[in-house]
Amino acid sequence: MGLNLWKNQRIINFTAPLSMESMKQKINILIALAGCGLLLASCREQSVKGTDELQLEMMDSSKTAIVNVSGILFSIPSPVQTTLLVKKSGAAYDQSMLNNPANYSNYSSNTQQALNAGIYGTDMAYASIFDDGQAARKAYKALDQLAEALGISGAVDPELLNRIASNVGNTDSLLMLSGRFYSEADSYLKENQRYDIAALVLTGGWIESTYITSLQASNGNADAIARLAEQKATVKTIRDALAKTCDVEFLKGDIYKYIITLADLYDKVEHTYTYVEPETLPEQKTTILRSSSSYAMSNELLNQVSEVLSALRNTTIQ
Amino acid sequence: MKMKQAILSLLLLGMVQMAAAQCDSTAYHAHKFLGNEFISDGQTYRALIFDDQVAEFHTTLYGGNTYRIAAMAGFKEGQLLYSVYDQDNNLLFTNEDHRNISSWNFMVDQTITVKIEAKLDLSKQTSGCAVLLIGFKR
Repeated sequence: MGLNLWKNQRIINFTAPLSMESMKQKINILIALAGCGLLLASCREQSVKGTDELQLEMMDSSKTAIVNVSGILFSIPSPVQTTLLVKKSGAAYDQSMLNNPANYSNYSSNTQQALNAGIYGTDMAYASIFDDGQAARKAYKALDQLAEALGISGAVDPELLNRIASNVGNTDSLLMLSGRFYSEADSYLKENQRYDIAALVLTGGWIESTYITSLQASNGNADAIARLAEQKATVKTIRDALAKTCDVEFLKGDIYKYIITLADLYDKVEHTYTYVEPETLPEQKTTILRSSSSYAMSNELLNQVSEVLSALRNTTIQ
Repeated sequence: MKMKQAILSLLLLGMVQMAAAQCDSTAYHAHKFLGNEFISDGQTYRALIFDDQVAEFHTTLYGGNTYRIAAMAGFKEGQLLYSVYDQDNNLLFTNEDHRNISSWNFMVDQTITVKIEAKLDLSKQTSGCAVLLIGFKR
């Protein structure tokens, strides 16, 4: 699940060292200037690699060229959306499953802080959706502390932070504002080439929302089971995004191992898809996507996925 | 020679800073298209694109939900063309059929993985920061 850019007649590889001498031999100085600007700017937006790691590779003009940005841009569905489904499915609220807000002070590394910033964000939404303003407020405070530690708070509009703090008891506003908060944080992290942190925040949010869903799925909640199965593509996106953005130490750790295990388990989820022509309603500026699809997982697989998710989540909040 | 390299470096740095600032401004502007109805998915999809380059990413849209995709390249509407394809590459929507409109809603019957492609309308600009946002309706 990555972002690719392609352009006819050349491949630009963002993963190997840049050779200025090689560039000079291949293109004139004006094109080099424009090309470098393009590459550096693109790198700043999309790649974790530094400017000294870029390489411009001229290719045979007969080949279709791709600007490979290493899949840095990826999409993970909103954890808030998944949490909303949990309530919609009739599941009961369980405050005891929230990560203890006091734990934030235990998270000393940026990896722990980023993952748990995502987890507390989901907890805040979950508590708020179930009208537990007190728990939502505590989760927000923990999130705020971690955002501060990660240097995100200073990059987010102070007015937005004030509005979040004052709307903790107002679910509709809070969900809207928290979505904006995470979007601004995501933008800031990408701007500063902190792709690993951006990916980890999103991963933390996904872990928590999927864990909450798995608890309901294990109780036989059909909607939760379906939503859990629908994570098939997302878990692979997360696995690949972390592999491309995080350091070796993280990739050798338990959290990433659990994610690999999950991705392997999700290979067993059965997916069918049949295209149906969509219906577009121009006056409503809306298109209805009517294609049919299904995701199915056996009870045995559900139990295995739930078990791994539980271990993953518990390891993450330790 | 060192002076030339220094000047070149400064020029490049300036271009990078300008490009980054353009992305930030565009992202801020694009958020307005989500309005008060749609909750951001918490991500900003951004890419600097030039000429006929195409930016692409994949995402999952959950069944039973309505989404809004907002797409901008600069502050004027209609400068970014975007299309949505299903997993089999069937075209589901393109804003080129709707005068390059910047935002569009998608009602999703059943969960679907889609590919979103974005490129510049070369009749309006030849380089720019493409920003896509995805929001969902509560």
